[in-house]
Amino acid sequence: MSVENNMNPNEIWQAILGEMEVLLSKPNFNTWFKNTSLLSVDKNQAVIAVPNEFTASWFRKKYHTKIFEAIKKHCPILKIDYKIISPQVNEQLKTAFEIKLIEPPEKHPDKTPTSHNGLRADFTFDSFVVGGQNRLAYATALAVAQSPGVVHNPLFLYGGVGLGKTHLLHAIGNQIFKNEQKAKIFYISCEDFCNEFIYSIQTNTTESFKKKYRNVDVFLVDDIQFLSRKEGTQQEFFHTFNALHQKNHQIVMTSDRLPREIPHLESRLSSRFGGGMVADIQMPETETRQAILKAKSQARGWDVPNPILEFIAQNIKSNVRELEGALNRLVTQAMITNQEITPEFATNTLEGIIASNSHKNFDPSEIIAKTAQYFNLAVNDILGKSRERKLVRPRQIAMYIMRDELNMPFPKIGDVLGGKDHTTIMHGVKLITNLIKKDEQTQNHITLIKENLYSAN
Amino acid sequence: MKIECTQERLSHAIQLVAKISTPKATLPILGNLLLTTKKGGLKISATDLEIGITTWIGAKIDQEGALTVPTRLLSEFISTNSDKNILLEGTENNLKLKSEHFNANIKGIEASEFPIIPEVKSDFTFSVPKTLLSEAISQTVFSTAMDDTRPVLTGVLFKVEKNLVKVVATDSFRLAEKTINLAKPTTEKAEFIIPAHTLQEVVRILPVAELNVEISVSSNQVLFNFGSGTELVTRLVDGEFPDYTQIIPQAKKTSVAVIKREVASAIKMASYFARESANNIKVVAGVGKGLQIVATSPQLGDNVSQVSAEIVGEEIEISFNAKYLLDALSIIEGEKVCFELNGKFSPAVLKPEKNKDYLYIIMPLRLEE
Repeated sequence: MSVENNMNPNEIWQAILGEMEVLLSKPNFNTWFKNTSLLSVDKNQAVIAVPNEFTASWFRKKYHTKIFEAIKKHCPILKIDYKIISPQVNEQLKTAFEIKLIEPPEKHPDKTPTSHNGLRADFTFDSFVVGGQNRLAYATALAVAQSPGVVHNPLFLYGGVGLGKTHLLHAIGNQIFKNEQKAKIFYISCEDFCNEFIYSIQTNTTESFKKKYRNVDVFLVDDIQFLSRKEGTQQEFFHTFNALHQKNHQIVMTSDRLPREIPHLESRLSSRFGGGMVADIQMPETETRQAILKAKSQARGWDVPNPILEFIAQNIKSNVRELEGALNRLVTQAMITNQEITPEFATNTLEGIIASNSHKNFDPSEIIAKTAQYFNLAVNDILGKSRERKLVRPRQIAMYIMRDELNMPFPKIGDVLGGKDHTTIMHGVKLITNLIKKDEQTQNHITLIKENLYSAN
Repeated sequence: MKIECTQERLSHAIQLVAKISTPKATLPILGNLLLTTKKGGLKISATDLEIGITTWIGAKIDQEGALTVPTRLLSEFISTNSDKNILLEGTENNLKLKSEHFNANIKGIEASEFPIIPEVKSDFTFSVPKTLLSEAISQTVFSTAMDDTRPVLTGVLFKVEKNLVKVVATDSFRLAEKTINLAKPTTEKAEFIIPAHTLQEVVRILPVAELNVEISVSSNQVLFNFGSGTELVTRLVDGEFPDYTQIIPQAKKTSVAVIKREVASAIKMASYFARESANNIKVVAGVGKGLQIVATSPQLGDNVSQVSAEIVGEEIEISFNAKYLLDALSIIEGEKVCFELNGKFSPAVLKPEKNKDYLYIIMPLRLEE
């Protein structure tokens, strides 16, 4: 092969790609010129490698003259030949084959140790307070950390916000790292995964993206529910998942709901997510909450009297994050004002937080008002007797919220709704209770109305 | 283009090819169907640049022509249209559809933008009865590898020699081999690997194919001719399939004959108990004692099933992944199946008792005791 000027085939092809990219639309360019190259060029002919027969035919029909002219600028050729070279061919094809035993995944001694990739050192199993509501999640996570890829693969942890899912996820990573320094542990939030994937498409680096994720030993993904509605990322995640699972590499995911309840998630994914172990974490009971507070204050070297911890634990019931927040606020406030933490001081300082945590501080009429406002109705529509469907459902939702939030007796709800029979209310509440389980939309309505109620206070 | 055809034929033809269309591809036209008048009928094509599929239906042609229209919209319009006949009138990039009760205009892209579905300049063609082909694919394709670290294993090997076609798939944990006997011997030898994904499409089309399917092979493409104008072209997987014959056990130390239904349901039951231990179940074959299927889970509990069996040879205790066994038991033919075992750590063979044309090899699990 001899080239007339000083450019090698690769440089010539890069120049041509640049030219074609200007002439063609982006989808056209990306579809047809991906995985092409100039194999050789001499006085007679240029040989162009194309990935498949489709591209070969298309080049012959559509771009032949353009490519021919473009190459001629660099080297006077007479003709072009197209050769199909599958981009997949690699070294592994040549290795000898045998059916191998399925054994626990090998540890790779030659791989470079990965640093604590995004893992928080303080999130360990030791610092996790175990109670009745999270014992299962804790035990499975511990089992996974002790023998990754063997027992529960994939492990799926779900529960509400601030209950310790992320803590357990980090703890698994930290524990495995402690046992096996060379294990490649990768922690990522689902959102980062999506963003990185999109970025890799933009920069045409999907190959290295794939490589990066398909070669980890332990894959920890936080908040997997963010895959919802992201079809492209779902597809990529599906392949990553399969590649890892096939090799018995451990996958752990967290989410705020069950796999099958994540909306707009392909069923092949949700069934895979649920294919290993699914464990839930619920709000811990008062005793555990108190133990958590105790552990936190000890870890930070604070000396908070037990009755105060008990007071916080009893009054803050929403989630562990708020629990910690309340403790932090109390201690900081005490330090700033240089006061002792007494029950009175605690009550005063935490008044605001506790009030917003209590469910009993709004009026039934407020619920009716907010529900009406949410559905763009007049309050009288809700209180009225019309059986129009667009009025009946909001009315039932108002009943449900009153029952759920204020725990009002059925006849009382009937009264505030303009004198309705208690059986009507019972029916309405039951109907919505059932509907929530099936209908995402109703669930959303209720969440949003409740949010309005809380934010108004 | 101006043609008229029956709704029924058109709808069937569109259903047949539409699945290959990929509306989310980078290139928008890959989400379209190409409609071309040809030989007194309508040719409909779709491609995803890996598979190209074409079908043909008879139609009354008033004016020749071609264009492409979005697959989804066309398919939805035609399948919900209840009239008997549909008139299609196309300009370069607009398709007007008319029937007794329904009218529609669908915007399209001109035909010259549609990728050319490659012709297979065949070196070699042979013909297979569709029932045998369908059976062979269904009984092997599930054993292909899902991950693409070894591309050759994501496809199914077809090895043609004289009057035998061996169809083989493996993911390196298990291997399935089906032999098809051809009525008349082929002239040449050939070996090629077809992507599993393509074969799933082939199986989907086979029920409407003519009795014999013609397969033509070139160096990097294969063409399935299903008859009556329906054809599918696909790339072949590049690379060489490993020599799998070396792992077929030549001897057997223990042979176990059981009723398929009984052993399958026992393994199914055990798999419920093995959910937490990687589907790990134990098979105990004692001579004269029948077969025992055991699953133990530290969390869930345990399960033991007795299956009556004819056992010849050494007694053995061996562990398998229940899923791999169930995969095979669900597609093996015949009332009885036969396990051939060669000790705890050697590949085991599972095959139908009567037929010699199917072979499933599975690697046992090495248990840490």
